[in-house]
Amino acid sequence: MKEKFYLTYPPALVKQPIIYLLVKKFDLIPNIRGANVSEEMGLLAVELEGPQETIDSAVVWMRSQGVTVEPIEKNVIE
Amino acid sequence: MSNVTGLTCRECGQEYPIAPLHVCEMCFGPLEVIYDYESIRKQISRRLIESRAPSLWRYRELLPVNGEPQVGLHSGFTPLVKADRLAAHLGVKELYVKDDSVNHPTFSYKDRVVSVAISKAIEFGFDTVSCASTGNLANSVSAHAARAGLRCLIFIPADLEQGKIIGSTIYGPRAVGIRGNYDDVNRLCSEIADKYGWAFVNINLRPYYTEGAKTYGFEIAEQLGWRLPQHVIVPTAGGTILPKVAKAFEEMKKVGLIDDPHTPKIYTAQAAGCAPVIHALHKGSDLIVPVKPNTIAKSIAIGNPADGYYVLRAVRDSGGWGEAVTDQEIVEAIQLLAQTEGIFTEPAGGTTVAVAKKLIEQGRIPRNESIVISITGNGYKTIEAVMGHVNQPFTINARLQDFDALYQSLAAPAASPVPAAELH
Repeated sequence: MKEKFYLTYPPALVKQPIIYLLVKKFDLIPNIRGANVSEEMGLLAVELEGPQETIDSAVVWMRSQGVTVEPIEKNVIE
Repeated sequence: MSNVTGLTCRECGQEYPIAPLHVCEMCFGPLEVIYDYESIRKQISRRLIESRAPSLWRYRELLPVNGEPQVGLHSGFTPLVKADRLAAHLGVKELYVKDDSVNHPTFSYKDRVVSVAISKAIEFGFDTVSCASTGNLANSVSAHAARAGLRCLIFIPADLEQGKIIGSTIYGPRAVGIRGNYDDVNRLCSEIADKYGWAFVNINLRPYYTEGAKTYGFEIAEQLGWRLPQHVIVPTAGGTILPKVAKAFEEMKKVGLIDDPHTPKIYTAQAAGCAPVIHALHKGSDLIVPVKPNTIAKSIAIGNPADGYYVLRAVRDSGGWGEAVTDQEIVEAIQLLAQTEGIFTEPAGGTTVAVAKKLIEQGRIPRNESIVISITGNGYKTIEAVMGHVNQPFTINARLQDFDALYQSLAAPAASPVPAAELH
């Protein structure tokens, strides 16, 4: 299973190795396809590969860390 | 014959064939339609456009469809109202309201983008169309799908108010309420779009869908007598319409429909309770920090707009600006527009009027230049937003003397907060 996400890090998390921790914790394969990191915010376009349940758990964990996790399309509800 | 040659990534420039694709396989950037403008220039003319029916399809050479349009044959070509009474109130010389509150068939600008998306869906051979929406988009997709005889599924938050659900379910789609917060609903819809292969108008058909928004800009220019206004104020939700209005003006120059070389200044309007684009604009940043919406302007309460960055770019490139306004200012502006121009708009329109007022008062928009305010939705869908803010009727017994007494007790019944005497 592969799923594309758009991650937004708040300033407090910009210096944290979120993707490294994600791999250690969930054993997913991240494929970073775009990134824009400043002191103010981090933006990451990433594909995560692994079992669906593991991806779901990883999304819950990232959100608990303060990362905004959205589909690559961002807000699709209009 | 189509004038579309393919799709291109807005970020890395990678090109793709014409297909239901929406993100770049390389960098995940959004895709944009590529046109053959040289060919269009030879085909199109003001006279040809003027000879066609008054709908958004009069600009079909600049839309990404093949052959005859399939739906939305009466969508678009909404009134551009010369708003003299509102102009007098705001103290400006030349003001227009582009009024999509009366767009056909579902009374919002979404009928433009959905007309194009569903025409394209039929062209691609889809038999099912879909969207995730809390209001205007679901209304429009449901209505257009009914007219086209397509299966339709709409996804909504499970706790959405009945009034908003009926505006879509009356057209007979299968509506699915999803429990969970907006983040969960967004993710699930993206997964469904990926898995089921339906025409999700604002996901896998997004490059075509967004092109429909250009017609709002084409019409403004044509209705002004084939000239461009100096200032346009546009609300921002997901960020579809504003960059496409800018693109429309540029395309009209490119294909020879407009001689005027100037670039209109474009201003973005958001509610203070959901203003991620305004925050970035005012900070001089390119980064849109997502927010949790808290405003009565539900139809523009998009905390992380898909095209927010492109709104910023279009506003800056045009030399425009933007502002956010409070819910109180939005309600007052809805009433101001209704009581000066007889147009009842939803809170998104109130936001645009209130922001226009603010920008004029700030001196950002000069009082002696031409201004267009974009009204993108209808107030009859959101009466709860103004309930409690408008006068209640007097109640009397059915006797003439009761009315006489009431009438005499009303000192000077003003028809409007802006008396006719204030007009030029």
